Amino acid sequence: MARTPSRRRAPRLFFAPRSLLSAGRSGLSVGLLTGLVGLVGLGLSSGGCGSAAATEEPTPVVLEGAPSFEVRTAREWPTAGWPSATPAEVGLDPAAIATLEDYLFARNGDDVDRRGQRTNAFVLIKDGKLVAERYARGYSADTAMLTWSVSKSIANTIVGCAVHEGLLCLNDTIGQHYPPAVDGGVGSVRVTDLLQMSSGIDWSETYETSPVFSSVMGMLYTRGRADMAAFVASRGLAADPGTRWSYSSGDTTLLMGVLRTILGDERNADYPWVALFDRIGMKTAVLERDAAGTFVGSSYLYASARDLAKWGMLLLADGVWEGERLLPEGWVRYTLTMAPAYYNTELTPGTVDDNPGAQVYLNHGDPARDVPPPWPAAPADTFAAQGHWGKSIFVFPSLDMIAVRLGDDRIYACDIPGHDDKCEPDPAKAYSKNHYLGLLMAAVPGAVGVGTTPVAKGGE
Amino acid sequence: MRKVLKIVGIVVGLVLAAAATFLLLNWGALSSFPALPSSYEAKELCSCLFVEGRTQGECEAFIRQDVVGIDGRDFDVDNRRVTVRALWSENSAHYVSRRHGCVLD
Repeated sequence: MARTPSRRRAPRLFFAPRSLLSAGRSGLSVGLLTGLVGLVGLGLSSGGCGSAAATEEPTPVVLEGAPSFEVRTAREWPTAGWPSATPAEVGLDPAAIATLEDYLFARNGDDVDRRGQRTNAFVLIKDGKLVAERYARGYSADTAMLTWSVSKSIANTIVGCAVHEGLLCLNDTIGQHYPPAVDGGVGSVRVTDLLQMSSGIDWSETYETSPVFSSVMGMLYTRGRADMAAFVASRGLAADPGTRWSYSSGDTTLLMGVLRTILGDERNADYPWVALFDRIGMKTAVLERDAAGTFVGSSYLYASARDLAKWGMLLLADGVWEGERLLPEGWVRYTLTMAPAYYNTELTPGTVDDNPGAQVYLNHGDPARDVPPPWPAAPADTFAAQGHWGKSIFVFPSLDMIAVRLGDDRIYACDIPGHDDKCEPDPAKAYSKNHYLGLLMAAVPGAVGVGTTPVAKGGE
Repeated sequence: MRKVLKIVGIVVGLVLAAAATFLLLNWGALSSFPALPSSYEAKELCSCLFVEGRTQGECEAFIRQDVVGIDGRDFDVDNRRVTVRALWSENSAHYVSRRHGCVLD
């Protein structure tokens, strides 16, 4: 079986958004999944964001250094709109781009059976220019579109802006800032633990597979909806912070609650626009909140595909936009570093393909455990924001390229782990991340994938 | 016979005790479940209509699920509010602003 990250398990036991939000997930089963782990925390030691006032044990994170790729700063900035070019003008193969678009926009089903590709938008940026763009199913270049968990990666960037302003530090504990978590174990969780989804907070990220016991469904729609961050903080710890990686929308949302507490309600309400969206020209951005006023963050960012590509551009520029630094030095490098706790976490069919950085996905694999990179067709430095139902922003730093694809796929191709009960066997007839990436790379002469012969390995 | 009845009685008692324990331990999750289908639909329909700007038909196709029956949906377009009833529970979401989209009531 080939590997492709993103949602696995497709059982449609229940109605809802089977994974409204995620891309990776821990999917696992219900509340009892707790236990396990308790291993050694690897701590990401590098520089630091000022105060390491926290506890004694965890190795403080230090923010420093440029990302490992060539930073792209000298160009025409797309704040007001993207400059455009033809694929040939930027060295792409126009025929291969046409093949890619044919694949993305082929419909093999209707809106009743929901089979086949259901691509809403595709935008390709190469060398800072818009070189391909297409919409379907009633969407357009101006539509603010649902992104589900792509939101998490943008939430990371909003937090980065706040760190840059000195409002909080990666090594701060939640208890330092967030009154509901002053007491008890959750108070000892650090900001970096939340960003790396390694908080250890007791959480079940299931969707229709187990809606009754799903923490994320409870947070978004029932028990937690009035104050989502407080709901997360009330869950308690299932593992020591920093020791276990587990996909959790709760970690992201709690971080948004921390930010709101620091900023105060009035400033918080506009902060994402003041700090980020207005700066880089994400004019279509909508970011929804809970009833208490906390940005959900783990989901509910709506934006146009063109605007989402600007986020990729900001990271390619190491957080500097039009000459102004929006993110701390070292932030992009930190974001693109594997979450240390992942190496201690049990691999399952769902987690084997998730190479988590800080709220983004990477293409590293885990060589020590014989886990190959999840996207063999793509370069090793590829990273992505991913959301449920086929939403992604793929960024290819060595190619200076960004690809945004927003879909509403309900039935994936069978090469996505876990999607074996109701999937489409032919990857050309449904969304397959690796098929998509393969066709995309075919349009870039000289692009070298990190591995073209994926080893069949993984959970089982 | 008496012995058999006694054993059956003990078994039934244990099963009931286990069920009661399960209910007690999971009451929070179990009791909130009936609100889930209606609140999920209300929030996602609201955002689909008033944030994404889709039509009611498109949004209903987007939200469709074939497991839990929906008793009713009210679309208050003037006040930009969506109310959904399912599993004896009613939930609404309303549009807040251009930046902040929708929120459950």
